[in-house]
Amino acid sequence: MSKDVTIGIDLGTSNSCVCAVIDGKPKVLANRTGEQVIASVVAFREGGKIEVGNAAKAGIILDPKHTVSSAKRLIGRYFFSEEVRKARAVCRYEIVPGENHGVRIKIREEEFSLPEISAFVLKEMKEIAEFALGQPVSGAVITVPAFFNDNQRQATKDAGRIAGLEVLRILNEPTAAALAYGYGRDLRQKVAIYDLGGGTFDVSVLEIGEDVFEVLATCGDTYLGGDDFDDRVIDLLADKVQSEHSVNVRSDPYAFAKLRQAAETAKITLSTTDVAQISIPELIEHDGKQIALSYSLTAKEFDKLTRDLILRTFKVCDEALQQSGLTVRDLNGVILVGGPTRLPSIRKAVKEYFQREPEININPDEIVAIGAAIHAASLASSDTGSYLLDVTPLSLRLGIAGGLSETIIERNSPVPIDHTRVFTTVSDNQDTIAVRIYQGEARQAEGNTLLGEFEFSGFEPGPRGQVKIEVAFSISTEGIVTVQARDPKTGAEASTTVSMSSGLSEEQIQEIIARGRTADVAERGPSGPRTLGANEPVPMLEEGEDVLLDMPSLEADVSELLEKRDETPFFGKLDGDLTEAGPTGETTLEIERAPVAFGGGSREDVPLGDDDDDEVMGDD
Amino acid sequence: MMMNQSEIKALARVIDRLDYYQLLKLDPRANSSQLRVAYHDARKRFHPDCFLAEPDEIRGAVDRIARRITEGYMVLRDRNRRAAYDNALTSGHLRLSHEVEEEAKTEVQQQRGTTPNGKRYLTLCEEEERRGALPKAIQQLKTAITFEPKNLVFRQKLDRLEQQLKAAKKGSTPKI
Repeated sequence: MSKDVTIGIDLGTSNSCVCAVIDGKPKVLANRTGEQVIASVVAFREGGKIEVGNAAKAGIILDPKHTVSSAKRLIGRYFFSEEVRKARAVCRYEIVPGENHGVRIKIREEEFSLPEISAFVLKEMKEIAEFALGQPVSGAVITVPAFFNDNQRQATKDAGRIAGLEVLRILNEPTAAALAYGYGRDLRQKVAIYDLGGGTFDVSVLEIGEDVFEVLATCGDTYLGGDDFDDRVIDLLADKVQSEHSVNVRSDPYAFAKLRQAAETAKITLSTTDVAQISIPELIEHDGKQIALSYSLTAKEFDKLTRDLILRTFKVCDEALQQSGLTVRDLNGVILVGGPTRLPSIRKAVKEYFQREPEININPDEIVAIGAAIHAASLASSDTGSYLLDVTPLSLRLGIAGGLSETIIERNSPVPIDHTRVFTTVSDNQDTIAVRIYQGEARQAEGNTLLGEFEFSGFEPGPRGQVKIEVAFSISTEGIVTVQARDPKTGAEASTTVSMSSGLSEEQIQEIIARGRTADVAERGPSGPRTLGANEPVPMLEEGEDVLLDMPSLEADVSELLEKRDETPFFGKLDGDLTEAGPTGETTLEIERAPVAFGGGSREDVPLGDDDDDEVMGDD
Repeated sequence: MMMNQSEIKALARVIDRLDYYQLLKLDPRANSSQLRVAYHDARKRFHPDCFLAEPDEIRGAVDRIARRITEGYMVLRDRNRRAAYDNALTSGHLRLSHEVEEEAKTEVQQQRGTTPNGKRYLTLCEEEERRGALPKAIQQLKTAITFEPKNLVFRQKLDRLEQQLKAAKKGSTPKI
């Protein structure tokens, strides 16, 4: 075996999986207790111990305030985003605002960034691999949903570094699945990867031609996953308790956590049987008595509850097919990825939609990790037996006048790619331009995700329209965005790897690594993951403590934040002025487009077109 | 498939002097399936994943080449953009920049006019032209131009009609 062992990690919303290629064969690695699917749950025990994985899962019910699950839903998000708002309503651990509109998890007065939380999970996966392989692991390929934006990709990469891994590559989950499916099989096929994870849905259409895996299009919904199916069951059960006993289960974190667990178990049961018996003998105390919950959930009823969620996935499939220029008839295979795709209702619907039986000989929980490991092994050996040609899932946009944005690189463009545009100033002696970069499909800038903003002032000021500024946008093979502004006359440059908005700075990452908080995981010793045993004191809420005290103010908090963001540097700094501009966007703040000197051509500058076609960009 | 370091460095140096066809080693008359083969071949030779262990200088060069290959493929696989590129190539543009492309688009739009009145008077001009009433055609076109003073296509047409009228007055236009 070579000295450098590399691994592939599928870092999932609900579960994670690690795999390595051993003697040319991918092998899913198990922890000390033989488990291959590891819950992406981090439990912070009293006294500073940190538990990760299936053992930590018990904490969701026993100690919900100090047990973090589904962190992937929050990674790379802004505090004011819809997803964080939703998480604050359902999660019992404390989610607080961090620097630059970022998100922090507060556990016993200690604040953790999302990359730190994910790093605990990654570190666990690394240790599982080291235990299974009997040697140290350094490099890893970590997968992300194809639809992840730059902020989420950067944050995941940071998590890997914090966990002490050399992140060889961030790889899209569906692409990894396709690699696992087609590697070494000399296929010539067009396939769709239907990837329904715990928290995200992705669909990718690929053309596999022997050793080339070319993604033709990818589409997704980062707000749709198996958790949403659980939520439907939770709602059903909570409403039942409410109507029968007039008790609000949602207001009790313990009862709610029990409901959540029961709902998830019922969903899994329905993957193999027609009826799931839900029975919680002591759900919640009411008037001094324990209320028991018992319910038979039939597959038929579950299907009805979740039908619209399944239909939503096909809307995304429609889009992906349309973007790839193919129809279902052109496809040679459909591959299912993610635990929820075990549900018979989903398999049936997928079969109907794609007019073919999906591949069933592949474990949907492991396929992504297997693909990641295959790619990790080939990257490490520089002997690439397969070539992945991926695309960028979201359009890259530039903020322009009037609160609008303009597409610079279209979604589903192959990566790596770059694009250079030339802009000029409109006011005399203007010495600064603001460059704001977004990802998304909305014309209104605010409808997209802001990746970052920077000011460029290194150019030589001059009369309006005379100054030329080159702005180069580029996306790497990992989907990571870089933007550079340059004055071609002076050569002055300003650049940013864009994700700076809510992410961690390099200094912060180094500080976290130096602090070595993740080392606690290793202190557990050789006995393997600890379960919350009978002798262990179960952390309990103190009597009279109301964990929901902060709940009523949630709405107020969020709306306050939304108002505040208009006053902060990242948002609306320019919009206040620009929205007053007429519908034509003609304001004194505009920067007109200048002809570009591209590729050493000899073209003379041409007059600009009609005014309403002109590109505008806010300045200060 | 691996290229050696000096080849890569050399290619990165001359990349700004290559057109997309040269870059992809492609015949300018190649069809779309030939383009795809050439694209895959080029991407394989310069895939950033194959150069992870190389020094920064090489990785930077590979990345630059890979980006340009993608750019070329994106342009050539789209029929309209390929036509615009082929046109730009004849005037010495080796890359299809946003501005050149916009210009080509504008030209297409200007053919038929960009305003309702411009379009209307262009149609009237063409009717007069078909009837052989050149002075009236010129009159209508001039009206069209008052609505679209920046429309270069209109102005070129006006020049042409005025030349024709001049020639007709001399009586030298042969009848077919």
